[in-house]
Amino acid sequence: MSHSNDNRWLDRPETHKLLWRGLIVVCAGLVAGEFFVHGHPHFGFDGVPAFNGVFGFVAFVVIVKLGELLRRFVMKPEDYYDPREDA
Amino acid sequence: MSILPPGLILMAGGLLLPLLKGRAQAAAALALPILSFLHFWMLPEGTFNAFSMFGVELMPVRVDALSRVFGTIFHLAAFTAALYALHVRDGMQHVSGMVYAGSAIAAVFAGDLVTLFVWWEITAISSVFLIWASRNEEAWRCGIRYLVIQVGSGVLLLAGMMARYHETGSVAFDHIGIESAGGVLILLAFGIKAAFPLLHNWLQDAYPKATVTGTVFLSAFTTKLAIYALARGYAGTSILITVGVTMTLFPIVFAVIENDLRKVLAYSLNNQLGFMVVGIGIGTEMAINGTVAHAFCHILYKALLFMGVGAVLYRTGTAKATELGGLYKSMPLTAVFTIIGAMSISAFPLFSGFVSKSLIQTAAADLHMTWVWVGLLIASAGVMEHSGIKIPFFAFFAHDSGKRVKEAPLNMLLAMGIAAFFCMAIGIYPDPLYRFLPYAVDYAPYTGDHVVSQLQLLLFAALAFGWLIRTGRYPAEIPSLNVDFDWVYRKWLPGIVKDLRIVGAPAWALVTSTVLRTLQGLLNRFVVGPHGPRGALSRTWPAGSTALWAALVLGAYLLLYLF
Repeated sequence: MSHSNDNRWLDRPETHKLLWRGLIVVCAGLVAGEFFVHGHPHFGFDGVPAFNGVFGFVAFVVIVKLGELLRRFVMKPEDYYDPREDA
Repeated sequence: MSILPPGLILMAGGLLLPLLKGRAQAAAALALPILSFLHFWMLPEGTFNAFSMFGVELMPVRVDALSRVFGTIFHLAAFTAALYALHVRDGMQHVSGMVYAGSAIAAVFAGDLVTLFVWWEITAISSVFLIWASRNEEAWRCGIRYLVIQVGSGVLLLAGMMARYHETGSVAFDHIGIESAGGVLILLAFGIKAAFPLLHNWLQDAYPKATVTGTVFLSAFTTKLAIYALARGYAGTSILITVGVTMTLFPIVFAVIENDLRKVLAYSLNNQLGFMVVGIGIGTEMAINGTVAHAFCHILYKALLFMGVGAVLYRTGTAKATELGGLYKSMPLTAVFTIIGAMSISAFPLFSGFVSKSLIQTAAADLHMTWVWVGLLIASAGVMEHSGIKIPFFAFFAHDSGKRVKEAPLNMLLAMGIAAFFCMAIGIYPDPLYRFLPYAVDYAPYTGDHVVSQLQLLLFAALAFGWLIRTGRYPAEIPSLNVDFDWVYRKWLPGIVKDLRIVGAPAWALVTSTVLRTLQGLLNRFVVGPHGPRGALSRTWPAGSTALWAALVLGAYLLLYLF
């Protein structure tokens, strides 16, 4: 099916590039912003600059890759529990 | 003092709904939560309707700070779900939804374990019809599994209650703890409904198979009733910290690879319950406040997410990520509401999760529980993955599925709008919620540090998503089924039984035939022999000979009389 007639702003590759760059700028801003707020770390290690940002990025990637790994063990065809099988 | 127990209006009214038809029935289902809420809101704090039965003191209604919060949010959830279901023309679902919501509310106000047990079981039995209402073979079988597990939880509660009565001589529902056998049994009963690890699969099994509107009801009550019960009975039980952290972590990995978006939300629900269980385990005033506040916010944004995905399922006929995408073009309002739900659950500043989850996180930090704190932070990044990004992205954006459908019906949009309003109102102005919590709150969520660190966590996670997608490293959605612990009781154990049948059938036949033959012999000898058709004691005598014998006896009598 072709939808060239409703090629919206959000569908265009240049929009994606703009959003991506915007996100990078905002993230950089948040790292810089840390110097303007008064932090009160509880543990010490959470006072390292950009701790939350790096943590969020790494945790996200690890979770997704763990999911990929988990697939090897748990992924089955959709009709795995087909009621007609277990009589 | 005697009063009408909260929730009873919903239950009684729900049972009367079949008297109405069509639109009137759905409208009445919408009016019931309002009526019930007005009645509940008038009640003063205290215990009511106390009586004793067989020497056991019962306290059917107790209104206090903790039960009041849950009673309030349960009413709001019942109203929102009824509004979302206003277009449904299926009496069974309206009745089931109202009785289910009413029994969950009544359970929250139970002052003793006997009353709690009664409502506990009624929530199980009434809610299964929301699954069966899908009216297909899969939902039917799933409903049976759901019922066995839910009723089983009630049976454990009953056993624990009896053990506890034996130990303490009381069935009052206050702090229980795990120091006694009864306490452990009751914890297991609550743990099943709260979807503790390994006891959790009924949730991911049942919620995606209920009807579009049924799941919205289901998502609100059962598990949060269990959270309430845990907060009441097991606050400060430190094993719950480990249980809770486990619960926040493992479901997020399953959620990453799940294709059915309603099942993703079920895993996400499980992860959210984990945060609440951690709060209960920590047990400080701040942690309990956090659990209660998080349950309150969670009911709203989780219902909102189930409503958004439900509207997509209602219009397109599927909730599978592989078959969706690009729906923001035809369902823009549903997309906006779903994104509000996604931002709330991810705990973006100005959204409800931000002001509730941080209470639990801070309670852990204040006690310097490093690993708990780190675990919850990982879980928060996980929430951003499956609920914050995956749900809205694959349903409304990603690659265009080419599906062009109508926007969700007006009643669905209104219900989503109400939930979205509360998600944002609580996030922007949390004071009323904080004042409503069981303990005084000494916490300011909106500090520069908190806002910046939370935004860093979430937006760098989004950055990771962008990077994985742009470089083709994000795992593709695949039409598939992922087995979880349910494999044990849906495949492995039935398989063993089947194997036993194959190997054991001849042996079993031999045993049964031997037993049967022995029984037959005994039967012949002692029963059939004397009493059988040819037995001396069951012979029938001809009428003629009977008459002759009677005449002889009478003659003999006459002779004896004469002489």
